[in-house]
Amino acid sequence: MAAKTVTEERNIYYIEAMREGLRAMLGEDENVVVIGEDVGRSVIGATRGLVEDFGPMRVRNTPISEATFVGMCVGAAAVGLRPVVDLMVGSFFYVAMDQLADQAAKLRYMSGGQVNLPIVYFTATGPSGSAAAQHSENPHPMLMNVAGLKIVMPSTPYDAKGLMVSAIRDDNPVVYLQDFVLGGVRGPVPEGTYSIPLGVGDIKRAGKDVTVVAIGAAVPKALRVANKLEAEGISVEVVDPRTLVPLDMDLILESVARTGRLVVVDNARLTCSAASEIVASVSEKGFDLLKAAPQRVAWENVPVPFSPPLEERALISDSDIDSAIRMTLA
Amino acid sequence: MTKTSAFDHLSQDDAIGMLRNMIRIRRFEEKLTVLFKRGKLPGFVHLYTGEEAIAVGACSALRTDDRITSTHRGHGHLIAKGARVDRMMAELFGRVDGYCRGKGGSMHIVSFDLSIIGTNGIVGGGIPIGTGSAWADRHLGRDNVTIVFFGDGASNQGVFFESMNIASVWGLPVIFVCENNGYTEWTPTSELTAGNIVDRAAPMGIPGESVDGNDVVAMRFAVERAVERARKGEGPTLIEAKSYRWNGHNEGEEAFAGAYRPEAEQAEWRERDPIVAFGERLVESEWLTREEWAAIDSDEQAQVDAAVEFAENSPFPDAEEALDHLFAPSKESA
Amino acid sequence: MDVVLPKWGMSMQDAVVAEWLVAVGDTVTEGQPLATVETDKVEAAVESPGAGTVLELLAAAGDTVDVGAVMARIG
Repeated sequence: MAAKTVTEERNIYYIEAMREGLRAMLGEDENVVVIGEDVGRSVIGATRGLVEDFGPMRVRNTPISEATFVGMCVGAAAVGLRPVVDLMVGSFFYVAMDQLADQAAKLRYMSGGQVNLPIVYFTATGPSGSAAAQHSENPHPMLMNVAGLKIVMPSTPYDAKGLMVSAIRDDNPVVYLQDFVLGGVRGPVPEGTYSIPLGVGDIKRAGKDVTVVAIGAAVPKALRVANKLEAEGISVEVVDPRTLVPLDMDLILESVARTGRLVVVDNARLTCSAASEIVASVSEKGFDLLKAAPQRVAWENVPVPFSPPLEERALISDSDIDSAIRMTLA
Repeated sequence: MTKTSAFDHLSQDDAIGMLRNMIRIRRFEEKLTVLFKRGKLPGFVHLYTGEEAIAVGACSALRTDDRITSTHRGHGHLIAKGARVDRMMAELFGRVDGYCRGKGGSMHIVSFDLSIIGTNGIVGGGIPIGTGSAWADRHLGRDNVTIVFFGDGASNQGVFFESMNIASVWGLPVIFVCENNGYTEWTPTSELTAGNIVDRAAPMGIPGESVDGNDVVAMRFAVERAVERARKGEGPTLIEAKSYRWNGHNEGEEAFAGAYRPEAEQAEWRERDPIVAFGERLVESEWLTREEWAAIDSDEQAQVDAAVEFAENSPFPDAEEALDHLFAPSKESA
Repeated sequence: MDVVLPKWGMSMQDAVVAEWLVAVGDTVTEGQPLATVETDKVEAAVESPGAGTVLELLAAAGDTVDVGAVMARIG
């Protein structure tokens, strides 16, 4: 191992970076509260240890009543709290869909802008390996279609912390999705508090031949494939939108203007995926920029199966990304 | 010149104010019946006629800064909580002077300035929201309480049970007021609802009280007791107020729903008009003359007529406003 | 017999070997803790899958091991 050098950055787990963001905001604003099932113990890990520092009223365990505690945040935010909810698993949003989509997302708009609802709904989400259909969903495509929810999907520990800070400071309902498999990934994260604006994407790897827009857990996959193709002389740019609502289409179009080719990799089912939306928008707004038909890489249109070979077949793989990139170059 | 009150600690001013509010609701809803039939309203409306005593009795037990959440049948709650009929009417006409600048309409009229933190087109949708405002007020050390209004139909939604449970274990200052008007949309509630709704409080470990929803004074006192408990930190209460809606589930239902309520039943409940009953008690107690009663009524009728004029003269919002109010501007956003 | 790193949590991808509790040549029983490992949120023991002798240790203390990777062999 190399000798230890003096640096501000430490390598920490993504889940710890989320926790640092939560801790900073609990410290910054006493109206911030964190609720959810077993947030005291925190099985997934983002809220671990917070109850010791902030007490059981600010880090509060709820009954298993997703619809109700998702909805309670609407009333609570309307009268001055800044609730942060740990849903634990992405598909649990479906249990609370009325309160999320009909209430939280719509109350400000329906009231003609009378009220701000600063709420964060965060959760671990997506396939994690044989978790089966009801614990492997990624709900972001569905939620993108609900006007009134901002959606954040960080891919690195650095982004996880900065976007948690921004999400909690934002005066709107924000859905914050942590792909399960990223929770145990390490990366450099500054110790101090910093924020990343919602709606600003990031070029994770510069390249000149093909733009690969990748979302959440698809980002490390796309980077791995890009590094492999470099040896063959194919230069891949990897763009991470980081937030899906609002979506940084300018950054994506700028990248496509440079490369002329587009692949979008989404860790979600193909139909009406974020990949579908991005490809459609680029086709409309940047048709003249494209030298080849854009490609989508996403899951098969089936629930995520349990058995490992079945799961592998239904989800996206490095070779799917590799093939899609080559298709745009053919 | 103190008179012996037939209404315990209720003052004469309070009592007459309550009568006035009930009449205001009645005249407002009657006007909507006509406007709907004339095709003047862009959408559809669910009217509160016959149930006025519940909203007025309940809201008269609240402070201005106490909160309510309401339902699809919410006009009565809004008026009882202090909403102006002209701005309500403008909202129903989809005009820019409406409470929501025409974005909400009948089921979503709301005024956060009046501590009305939501009305709802989803049956039961407001129950968690009001439970949440009670949570926040308690957490922040305030002594406000929240009334959650909902109907008999909503008593079969999961969020009703979930919210009573969490309100009980967290000791929240929320009062669940179930308006049982006998019909769940177009079906008798008794065919769809097990047991008595009020009995659903007991297994949650909270007090439940059944009240004659046509008796505005009984309603007022029941809610006062619940408010007192809630303010002292003694937690939630469930009140089931039994009443009857004179109109259909929504206006215009006769075109598709057919006759589903016996004529005799409807006539019997109209005989038990909560406004007439209360007005007569005030006259008997010599708190009000019939002339004064008539004057209140014609005054409220005039206000409702003026509200229609106000609404008709208010412009539609600029069409581009359809794109406004989705998100609050935020310093952290790009 | 292979000793593999189990997946304890849905977000767990790997773990760091904190300490080996046995050495090559030691006799072990089924269920005996062989090593402690640390992940993003847990510190836990990897147990022996059976009785026998420790033949080799395939990771050193401080090493990161992937879920499902072989950490040691018992014979």
